[in-house]
Amino acid sequence: MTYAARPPSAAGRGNRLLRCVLLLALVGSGCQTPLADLKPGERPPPGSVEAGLWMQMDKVEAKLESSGRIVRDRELNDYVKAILCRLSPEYCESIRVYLVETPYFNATMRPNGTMELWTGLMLRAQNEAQLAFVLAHELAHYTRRHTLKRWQDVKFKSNGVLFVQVLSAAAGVGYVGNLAALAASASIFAFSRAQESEADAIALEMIRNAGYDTREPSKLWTSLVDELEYAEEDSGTFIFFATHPRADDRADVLLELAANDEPAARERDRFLSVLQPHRATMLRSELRARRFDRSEWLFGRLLEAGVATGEVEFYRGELYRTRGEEGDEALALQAYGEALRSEDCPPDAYRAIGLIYRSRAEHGRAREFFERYLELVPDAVDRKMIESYLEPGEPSS
Amino acid sequence: MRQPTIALALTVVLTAVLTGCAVTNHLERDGSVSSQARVLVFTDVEISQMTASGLLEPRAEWTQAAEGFVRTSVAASLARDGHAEVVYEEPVDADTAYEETQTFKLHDKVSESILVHRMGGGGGRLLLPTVQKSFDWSVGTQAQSLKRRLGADYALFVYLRDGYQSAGRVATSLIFAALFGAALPAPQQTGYASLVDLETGDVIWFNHLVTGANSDDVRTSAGGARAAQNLLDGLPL
Amino acid sequence: MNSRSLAILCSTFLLSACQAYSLVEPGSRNEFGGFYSVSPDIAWSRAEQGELEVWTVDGPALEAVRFTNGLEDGEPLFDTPRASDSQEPVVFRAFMSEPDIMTLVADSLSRLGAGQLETRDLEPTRFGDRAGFRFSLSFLTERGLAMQGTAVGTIADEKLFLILYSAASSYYYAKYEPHVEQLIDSLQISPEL
Repeated sequence: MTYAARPPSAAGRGNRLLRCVLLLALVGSGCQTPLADLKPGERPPPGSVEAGLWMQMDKVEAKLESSGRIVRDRELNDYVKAILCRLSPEYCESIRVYLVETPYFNATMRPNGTMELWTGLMLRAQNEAQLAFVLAHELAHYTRRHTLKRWQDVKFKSNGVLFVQVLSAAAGVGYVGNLAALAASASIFAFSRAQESEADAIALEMIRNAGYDTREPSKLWTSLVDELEYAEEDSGTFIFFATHPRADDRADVLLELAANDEPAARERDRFLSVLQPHRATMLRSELRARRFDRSEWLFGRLLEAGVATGEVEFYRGELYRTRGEEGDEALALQAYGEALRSEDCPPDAYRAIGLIYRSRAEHGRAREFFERYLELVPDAVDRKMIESYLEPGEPSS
Repeated sequence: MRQPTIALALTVVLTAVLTGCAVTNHLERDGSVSSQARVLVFTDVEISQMTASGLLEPRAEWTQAAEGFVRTSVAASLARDGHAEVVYEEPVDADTAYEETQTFKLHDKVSESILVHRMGGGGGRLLLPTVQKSFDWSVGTQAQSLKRRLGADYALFVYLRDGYQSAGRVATSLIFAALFGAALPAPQQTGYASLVDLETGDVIWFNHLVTGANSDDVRTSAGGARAAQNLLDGLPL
Repeated sequence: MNSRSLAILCSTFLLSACQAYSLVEPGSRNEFGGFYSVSPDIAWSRAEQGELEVWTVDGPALEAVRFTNGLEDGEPLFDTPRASDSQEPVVFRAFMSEPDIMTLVADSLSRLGAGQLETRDLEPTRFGDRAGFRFSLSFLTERGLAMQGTAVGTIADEKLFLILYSAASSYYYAKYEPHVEQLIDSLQISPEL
């Protein structure tokens, strides 16, 4: 989870920064005056560095607003905004939440109040309490002015690095510069991790005050750890975890913070029903990432939880059919079969089964499924193609 | 109305200015333009500070000042030639807003294409042989919605980026130059301007501006006006 | 536009190679993958782009015709960035049927940032003198520009031969559509050696 306040140019310049050097980094950013939290509706003073960041982010937001990746459904947007306002009535008008259709697990906050919530995260959240925690975490980045602080940290340390680099190169001891660069980048990452931990703690407090179950957030992280382990991915190798605390550590800390809390609202049913009309799109999007192991784990967990069985089974079938390794065809047929037994089975399952039988030259059976598909979807986007599979002269006829 | 046949006018103008040297490079469609035209003006300006280590930090107050000077100068230019500036207002209707946003987005891509594929920006590696002998870009007749709604004949887009070194950057550059005999990269003034006929959607004039390191200071009224005049160099209106 | 934004431009919309363009003369015959050829009625600019050849007149962000040279099992349509180690490229598989190819194109475009993707009108057609397929698509780029497209293809010897035309919905799609249709009409399957 990036969950990151992003300094506008720092991301693109990270590599250059890594190459820089700094002894001053070791002293950290202690010379800066502490910044007060942003007040609701507060705008940065004109002429400040913060005003410049806001100006640039306003332009980024204008582009984001009209991006092809934004989910514009009114109901879903209103739902997310209502959670944010339940968490913080005083700040919710300062924040614009953009739902971004992308299969990855992430949310971001920009200093001017632009929040991105990615559908890959929504698909993985199990209830409203978990989603609320994510929104609260991002809101904490905003109120604590994390982007500005990080930008100042990066600027300060990189300036110091350059200074040491120039001097050490001039003195013929360039390696001093390299050592300082390492120290600086480690220090910048540590600064970012500290912000994430701070945002986690604030967010937990926020959802507690809003009446949500504080034991839920840690489950978001343990699930992610399980998913990564299933896919045999080491979370420690991602650059993401250089700027963020490790998922398992985060889960532990969050669980500790919630240790004395009683169970409270999770709002699982409401969450699942609001997501229901969008789940098929999110599942299709999940497959587009072609992370077959992680998707397999996710689909399995959704099925275990009894979420949208027909839809999830269909996309599980699509996963195996797309992956196309030894034995996957049988797994696909089995998943499609399960889908057909559910009321919410997408009619595309009939076409998918038909295609498998057609490729096996079992034309009689293929025909049966194709005909059923066309019957269920009179305006199918591939009607003429499927009809051609049934024409005289075609093996399926 | 302008002739349907398109000819090319390509001029490279070296404008010696007081403190630096501006290079503008403009392209134009053949044909006549209206007198006493109504012109929608869009400006996109961003002025940054380069930190000692070379990071670009956007500065709101510089940007605001520079954008104001540029707008004033553009308006004065138009007025001097008998044209009127039309101020853009956001549409209330969602369909109109979508259509106009599409026009702007297409104009962005057209501008990038002209800069890269026609003018050879980015080292000239992406020049297209198919566009070298003509100047034939358009955003299409969807631009008419701007004309109908706001009563404008043309849209003038002005894009400007510039930056200034912090005191720390200047000092670092001096030390660096003294030690290694080479200068550190400094921010450059760059920009483009484009004129679109809102009846046809055709881009009828396009100007690219690159200025040396010691260009006018666009944070001052004289410097901002000079940058605007360089950007409007060869404007057929 | 500075060199950094140009570098970004190069690395984004299918310009990763940033290879120089050369001229395709009208009336010339141009072969792809030793399997089929087309002859244009206007001049185009061409460049190699990974597994593809791209033709454009005004710039690939405005209109582009992409030709595959016979995509083999396991090869991606576009070279797209990978978000993490676990993410595999979107690839053509020899067992794919026509509806799967339509999904493959949509999934590949999605990797380039396209949203609100819609594919439609999948139907059988001729690819030269062979059986082929055809479909239409529309999408918004990541920046939100509305695009339209048409794809015509066939699968032969377990390879995908595809001609994909995509252009800005406003002005550019219509401007080059007749010339793309002419290209498709001019398509000839190369005689076997």
